[in-house]
Amino acid sequence: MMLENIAQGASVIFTPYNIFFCWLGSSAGLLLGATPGISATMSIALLVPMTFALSPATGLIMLGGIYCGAIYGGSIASILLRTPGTPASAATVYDGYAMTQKGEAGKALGLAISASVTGGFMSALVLLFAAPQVAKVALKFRSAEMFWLVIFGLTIVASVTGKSIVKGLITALLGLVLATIGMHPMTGFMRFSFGFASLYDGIPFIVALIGLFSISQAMVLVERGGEEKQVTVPRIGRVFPGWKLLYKLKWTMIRSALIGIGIGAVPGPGATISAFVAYDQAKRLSKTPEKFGTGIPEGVVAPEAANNGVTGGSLIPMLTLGIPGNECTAALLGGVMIHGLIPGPKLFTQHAPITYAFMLSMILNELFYSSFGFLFVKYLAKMVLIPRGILAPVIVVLSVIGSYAIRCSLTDVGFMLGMGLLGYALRKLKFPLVPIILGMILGPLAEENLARSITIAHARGTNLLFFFIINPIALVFMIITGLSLGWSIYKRATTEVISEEGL
Amino acid sequence: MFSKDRIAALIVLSICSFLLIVSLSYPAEVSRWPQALLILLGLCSLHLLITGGLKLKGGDAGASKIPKLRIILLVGVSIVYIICIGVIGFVVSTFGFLLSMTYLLGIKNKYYILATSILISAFTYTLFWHILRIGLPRGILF
Amino acid sequence: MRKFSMGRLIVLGVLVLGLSALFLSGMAIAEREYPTGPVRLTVSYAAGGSTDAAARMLIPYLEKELGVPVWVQNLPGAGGEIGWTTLSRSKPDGYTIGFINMPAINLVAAARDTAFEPILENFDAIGVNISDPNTIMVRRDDERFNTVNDLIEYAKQNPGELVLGADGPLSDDQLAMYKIEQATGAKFTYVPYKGGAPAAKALMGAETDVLISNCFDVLQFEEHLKALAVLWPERYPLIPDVPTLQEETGIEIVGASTRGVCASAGIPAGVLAKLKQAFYAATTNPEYIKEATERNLTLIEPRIGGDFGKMIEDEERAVGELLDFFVEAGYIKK
Repeated sequence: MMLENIAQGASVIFTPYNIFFCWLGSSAGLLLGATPGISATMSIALLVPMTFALSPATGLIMLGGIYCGAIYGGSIASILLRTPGTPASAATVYDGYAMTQKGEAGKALGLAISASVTGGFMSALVLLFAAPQVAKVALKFRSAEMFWLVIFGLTIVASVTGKSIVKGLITALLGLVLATIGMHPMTGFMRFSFGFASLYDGIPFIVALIGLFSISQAMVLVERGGEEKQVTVPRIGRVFPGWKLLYKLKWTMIRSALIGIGIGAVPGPGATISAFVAYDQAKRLSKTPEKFGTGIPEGVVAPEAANNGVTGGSLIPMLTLGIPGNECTAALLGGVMIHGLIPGPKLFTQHAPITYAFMLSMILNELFYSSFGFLFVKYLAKMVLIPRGILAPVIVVLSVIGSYAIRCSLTDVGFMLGMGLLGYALRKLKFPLVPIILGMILGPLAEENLARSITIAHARGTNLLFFFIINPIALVFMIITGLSLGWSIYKRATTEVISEEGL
Repeated sequence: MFSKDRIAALIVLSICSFLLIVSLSYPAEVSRWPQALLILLGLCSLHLLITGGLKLKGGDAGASKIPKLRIILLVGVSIVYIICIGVIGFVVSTFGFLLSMTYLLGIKNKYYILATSILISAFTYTLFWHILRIGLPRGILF
Repeated sequence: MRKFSMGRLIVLGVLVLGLSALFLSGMAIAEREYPTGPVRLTVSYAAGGSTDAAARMLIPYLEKELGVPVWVQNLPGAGGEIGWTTLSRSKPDGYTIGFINMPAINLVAAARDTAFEPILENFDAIGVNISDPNTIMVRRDDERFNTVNDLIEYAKQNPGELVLGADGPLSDDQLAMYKIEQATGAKFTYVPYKGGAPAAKALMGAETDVLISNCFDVLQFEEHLKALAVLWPERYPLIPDVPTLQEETGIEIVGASTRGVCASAGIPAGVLAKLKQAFYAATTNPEYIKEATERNLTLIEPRIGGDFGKMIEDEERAVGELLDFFVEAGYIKK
């Protein structure tokens, strides 16, 4: 039965027309994702209307290509410019850019491609062969379980702080507080919006990310003269990382990919969180955790494998149930529905050829963007040699467009600039930036799920404690959270923290 | 005494207090969570205030060497740029911004300046207006 | 005083009359010749959503009728408020039209101080052709409820025990729930979710007991969820097996998510007439109907101009009647 479907899907996709659009999608996605200011979600959302005129299969195949290509492409900007091309690549910035500064930009880029392909390929296989089963497990994540997953996510803050844990806590709380601006998820009450309609939904996450990372980086760039290049070691190095190194990293890549698939399949957290969780896990399990952030391969490979793992993983709830796992698949869902397809079991029965073609295309995408990457990335890498005086204004222009494009609002551009100033100030004062991002993503999830659980427990007359704690999945995450915290405290007490400002 | 960390802590503390006061007027259900966060944030910044932050290696001397002029220029011209977009229009403003900013930052080669400005403006215009169909702000000019 | 002779007065008078005639005829020419340039169609939600899909579907047919390009501008945010504010403030020259969603716009106007209330004074209604009725769904394997009567009885006997998850807050689904509560005396505990899909997921995962959503979701979640009733005067063609509430309980409640096109108030009459005619022609075009049905758009007979305006009034009244429910539950402040 499944083999039949795969065969049918293959016959749909292996036509020159569809192969072309698959390639087009991957390459366009790669380039768009690599542009700081244009996120993967935006790339998909912007190109959905263009697929309107195409047949459902072709349209979906192209969108899938954009998704995979963009999630990989973001790492290019992270590595070469220290600004994430898409939120999912935020974790790749640290070791990626550090390697660029050591003259190993090529190696970092090659590692990113290899890890992304591993993650993407594994997730495409899981999607193709195990989607319904994984979906069943994802359904079990209700509000209480989600709450504990989110709390676990917050413990990552300990991993990404530098010497001062207080500073890390401050920025994490700052992120959490920023996320409370806007409509309360349960009651619709407006908090801290001071009458500004633009703040009714809070500060858009992408706007904050672009401001905090891209604009602050532009400001850091202009600290030195305009004619100077941004890296002191103008070497790029070989792109292909070598089979021996890849073999050494295999467990990191596989584990990170699984993290990505898992977190992707649960609607909520998304690719950014999975990249950080993978980074965090790699750091904890490494024999030399203090080296993370100085430019080691694991620091690039873990987040990149995870974020591409999310691509296939997030498609599982989207295709089987019509429930998007993250922002990117929410945009993709628009592409599905615009063609009149009904997400859910019908996709696997009535529209099986289209769906299977789409899932097969996910495997093809890996091939396309990786070859595009290996072939052209060394030319793109020359970007590091662009003088600061040109790079900084261009980053500003792209950031302006990126933040404007979200809601056609210049106010958002203003917010972005404000966040940029904040980001710069924080960097100068040696506060870590990543916890703000974690706080902004996880805060609303935590509050929403907590409030919902309380309401439901109340309605059912269940004791709150019972609801939250006597609950198998929740218990698992509570234990993991406890372990995670315990480990962090132990490690801090015993090892020297090299990086002063953290991430 | 007044290290940078302490000043930062004070700023955070004042923002916390302000927001806490604002949140007092919110109904209980929606104010619990932000209030808990703000109190924690206040405590952390208090801690930072008291401990005075870390001893930076090599002192603050390195930090004050940052040429503030270029940063202020970048931020200032960017603000003007954003305002111009709404008033004059996206493409013209972008072109003007790139032209002026690259020059102000010290790029001497005229061809680089012109090439960058024209290329980026044309590229973004084509990509966003023609291919992606996002409305770029139009003002008096284009 | 002699300086201001009769002659000069007459010349002045003729000049003034002449200029106004020129001006008015210029406007008339503009009106007659409308449209001479591209028309912007605003959608108050993000690209990819159902309103967006409906808009993009309509575009080629509108373009054919109007003879100029029509382009979609997505203005998401604040539950639609940002987009509708922009629409209501746009120049009333017929070059900006947009979709409004009911009852969302009525609920948002009731909950907050918006720039576009009263709605009928700020918008000129052009036409509406999409209405997606509300449906009540439970899990297939939930033995407690085989018909909607079972559900309502249970909710009456055990007020607040049944957890009803739906998109919201301030959604058409929540409004439908209050309509049911008011008409039957049943009482649910409402839990808002960010969209119909997460609410459906919650129902499937047994976190909630009931789901109020729209017709499309019945098809999408057919395998796991069964629809007990649809809130529409007669059975809906997209889901012919689902009985109406009236069939099952004798009580008629109509609830739906409706999408129509408006422009800001004050458009010249000629331009408005052209727009109405174009909308009608586009939405009654058999090719449009065929394509829209294929893409599972929930079409109804188009209602133009004043008829659409009456629908807005009716929706406004319905929301007004149920305002107390929202206030009591804390979603709207008095």
